[in-house]
Amino acid sequence: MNRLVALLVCALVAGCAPVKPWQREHLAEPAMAWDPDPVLSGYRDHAYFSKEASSGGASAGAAGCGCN
Amino acid sequence: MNASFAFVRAALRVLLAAALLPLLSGAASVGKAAPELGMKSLDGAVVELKQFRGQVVYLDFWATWCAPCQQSLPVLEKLNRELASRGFQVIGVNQDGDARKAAELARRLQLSFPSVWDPKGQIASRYSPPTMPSSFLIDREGRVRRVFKGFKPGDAEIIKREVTAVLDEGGTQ
Repeated sequence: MNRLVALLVCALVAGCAPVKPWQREHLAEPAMAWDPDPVLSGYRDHAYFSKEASSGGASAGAAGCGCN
Repeated sequence: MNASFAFVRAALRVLLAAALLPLLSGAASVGKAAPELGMKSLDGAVVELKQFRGQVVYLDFWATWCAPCQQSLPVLEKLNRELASRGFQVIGVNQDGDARKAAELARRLQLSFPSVWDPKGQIASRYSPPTMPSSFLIDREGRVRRVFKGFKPGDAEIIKREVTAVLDEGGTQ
């Protein structure tokens, strides 16, 4: 029971909340992007592929305005 | 132990209430009365929907940080000018934290329609736009008739067709 109570307390104090579409102004800033310069990243990926004969694994999802 | 049970029950009630709250918030949806605006525009004048009763209103949620919004605004400006004589009005709801950025973009795009400044999302909370941009087509009686989610260049024709269909219904002007 104590564990359940502790779990509930953790869930309540976690403070997680979804960001609404109209609240994404700061997430849309360039500094928040995982990949602020996709063209430069493309060049780097190409150079990496040429040297190592392997590609991928260099990028992840991004922040951004989440528009459309 | 009883105290723990009481705590768990109370916590579950709070969680249930939090989960149900959005259902009771009365967010704008198709067929319902459009919530009032009642806030100042970027020009400083208070904009209320009741001022436009008898007109077909296209309420557009936009922001300078939203790229598709910047594509949609010139389209809406053109539509506003074309259909104004038939009783059509575009109203923007801007979500920027800094009104100067919004005013600068409105000036650059030469927007003639008013945009309400909603930095704290008070109007957005009433309408719950599903994405940015989103728009609500409001008929002459003040009811939401259609919700447009997002904007792609090909949407201009769809928007014009839907707006014209509501305008064609006639009614008081």
